[in-house]
Amino acid sequence: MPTAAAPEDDVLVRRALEGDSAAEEALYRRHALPLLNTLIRLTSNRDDALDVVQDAFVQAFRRLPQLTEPAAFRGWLRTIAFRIVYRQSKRRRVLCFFGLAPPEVSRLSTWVRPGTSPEVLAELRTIDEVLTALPAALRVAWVLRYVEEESLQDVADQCGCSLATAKRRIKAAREAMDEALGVES
Amino acid sequence: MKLREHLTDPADARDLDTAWETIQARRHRGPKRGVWVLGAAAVAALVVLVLRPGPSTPRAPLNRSAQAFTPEVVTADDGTQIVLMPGARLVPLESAADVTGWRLEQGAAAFDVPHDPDRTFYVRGGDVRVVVVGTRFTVRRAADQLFVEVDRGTVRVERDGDSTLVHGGDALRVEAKFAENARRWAVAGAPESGAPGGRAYAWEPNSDARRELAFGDAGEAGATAERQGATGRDETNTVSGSAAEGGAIAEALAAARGAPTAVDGDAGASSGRKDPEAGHGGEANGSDANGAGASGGGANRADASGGGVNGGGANRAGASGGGVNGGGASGGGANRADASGGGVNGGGANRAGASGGGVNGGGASGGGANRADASGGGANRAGASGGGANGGRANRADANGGGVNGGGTNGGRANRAGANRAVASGTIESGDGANGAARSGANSNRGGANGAIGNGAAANGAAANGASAKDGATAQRREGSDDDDPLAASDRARAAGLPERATEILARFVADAPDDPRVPLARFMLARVYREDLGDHDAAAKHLEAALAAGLPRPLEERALARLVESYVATNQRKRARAAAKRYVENFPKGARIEQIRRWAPPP
Repeated sequence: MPTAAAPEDDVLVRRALEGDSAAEEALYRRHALPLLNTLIRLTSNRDDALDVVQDAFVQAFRRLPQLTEPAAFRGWLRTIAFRIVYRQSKRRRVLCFFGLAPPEVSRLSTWVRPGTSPEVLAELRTIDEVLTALPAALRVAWVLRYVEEESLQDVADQCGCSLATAKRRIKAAREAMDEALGVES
Repeated sequence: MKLREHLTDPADARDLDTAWETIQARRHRGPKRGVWVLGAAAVAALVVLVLRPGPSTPRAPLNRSAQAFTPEVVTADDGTQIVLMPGARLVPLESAADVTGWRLEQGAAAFDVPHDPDRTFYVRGGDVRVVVVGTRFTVRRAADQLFVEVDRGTVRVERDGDSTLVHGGDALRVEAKFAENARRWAVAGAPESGAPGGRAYAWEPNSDARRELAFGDAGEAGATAERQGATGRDETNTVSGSAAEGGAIAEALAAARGAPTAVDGDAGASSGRKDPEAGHGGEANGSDANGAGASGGGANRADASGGGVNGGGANRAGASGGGVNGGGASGGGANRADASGGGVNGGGANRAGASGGGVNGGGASGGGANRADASGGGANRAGASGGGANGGRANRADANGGGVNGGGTNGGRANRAGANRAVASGTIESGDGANGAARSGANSNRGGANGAIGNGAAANGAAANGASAKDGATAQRREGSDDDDPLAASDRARAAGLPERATEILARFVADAPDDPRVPLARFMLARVYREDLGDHDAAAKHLEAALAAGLPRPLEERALARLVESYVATNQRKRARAAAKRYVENFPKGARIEQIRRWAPPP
């Protein structure tokens, strides 16, 4: 997040529009790492996540003049990124069907903090199993809400869907999760 | 359970550097070819033609069909009149009380910008930004008088070596002679406070013929000629030119049959030094090197029967022509208006063709040699037509408008305006451009060095050294459309769900430009498309091997090696997978993927 002294996103976006490459890089440095963390959690593949980051920033900088609210750069960037994730996921499933690519596997339990209890680890593994089986749209919505701790509105914005749709996706994912975890709703 | 409390951040910050390099490389457009394409477009965007105001208030991108035959006029919220030439596309960038911005994505557009000192108005064309401040005035001709009414800004009216300033709200009546043949008046507007602005009007007395005016070109081609004019002797012509930041907006009318009077002036951003020199019966005017504000002045020569107003660049009014050169935002250039043309030059070199008045907005993009003939403007040439000593290379521009030289040899004087240059990727601010030097006879006028330096590698005009400015010309590269950037084009194809198309683009690029430094990256991307989109690990491995052999940046080399291992594993080429894994372990023992790769590497 920007510090008090750092220019806000809207300032950087305007500078970038004026051709200031340093502003572009500042936007990248600010938002790339959190985005990469999210994407790795979503894709469970560092290389794929890096590719998405690259694609997202390339697209974002190319389409920067279309950004109507410069201050909303973060959400807009992530919308672009998750759209790429959806597309890649769909493509991968086709390739996987023909045996040309390995299936997507959620690996949240891979990135646990040291000292995590076996119970939590077991729960995370169950969550991974559920996430692996979920469609990308539901998986993204759920991860954004419960792992990234985004607000419902931000989930909707970043998923490029309505608030109602976001809620529905989260609910569907949570129901699958609760069932697997034996949680009574 | 609060999941986040139990999870670490999996990303490695080192990966960000890798990704950033790749992003930069993918966004890199390669050698810029055609700053002048954009330059011309941006410049032409500033050419103002007074047309009836349109009704609309654009908030969305503005488009004008390429199939249309006429311009379309729209009026923006801020009162700016925008003339969209056929094929034009304008995208609003920002609109606020203090700044309004547009991006000219293709074609040409003209702007008539209300003067507002508190507001910045700019137009982007690629990496070139054109900043404009508006001003306006009118000139009307009577039988033997000239009326100058200034609405905004300031103009200077000159005649026979005398001059006077007319400010906004004032009017001036001047006795004028309008004889048959080769007589003309011209008035150039001077901007306020050295800022861009000013206009000049030109009119053609004793003629009922409609005047032909030309818009400076835009886009890939030359200028589009636009006809408009007045009929009758006392009509006021509404020809206007505008210039970019640092330059003057000049409007001129050169009477086809005006008095053999040469008027020199500076319509540029600041002072121009007048060097009245007889040259073939006319006057030669040279702007000081430091004149015209940030722009490099130029040499001006008006010959015996011509009148010229030169606000910056080199100006040559032909035997019967008059030209008004508004100086260039970026070094001015050579201006030549021939017999029947009135040239309005907002910057770079201008040559108005025999039947037309050329309106070139050269300045916006660093000046530039523009040639506007009856039907077009664009890049140009000025020099050789003047005869006499060689002052500069003939200016030329290719079909894409990539001309450079503003210099030329004019008449008996060796006038030379240096090469004007703008680099596509550079932001052209006031005074940017290339080198503009003028050397005129006994007076060596030298335009200031204007250099817009972007990422391009355009050479300096080198006018100061007396060298040909062609270096600048040859260094000009047209701003690549996306199609010129195979990496971007392949990205788009891939994003559009056409991975085969993406591979075609990249493969063709690799085959056609094997020495291009982007080839390794192109191969890396080819491998990615094959691997991820097409599931063709054999092809992916082949391109990864080639990319590695050609030499990738070290961070990419690490990824390429890791992917190579994956591709060999996927195709059950275990021996090769182990060899690749061994290379990875040896070269990147602390690599981010070392744990996965180590499984495939043979034990030490």
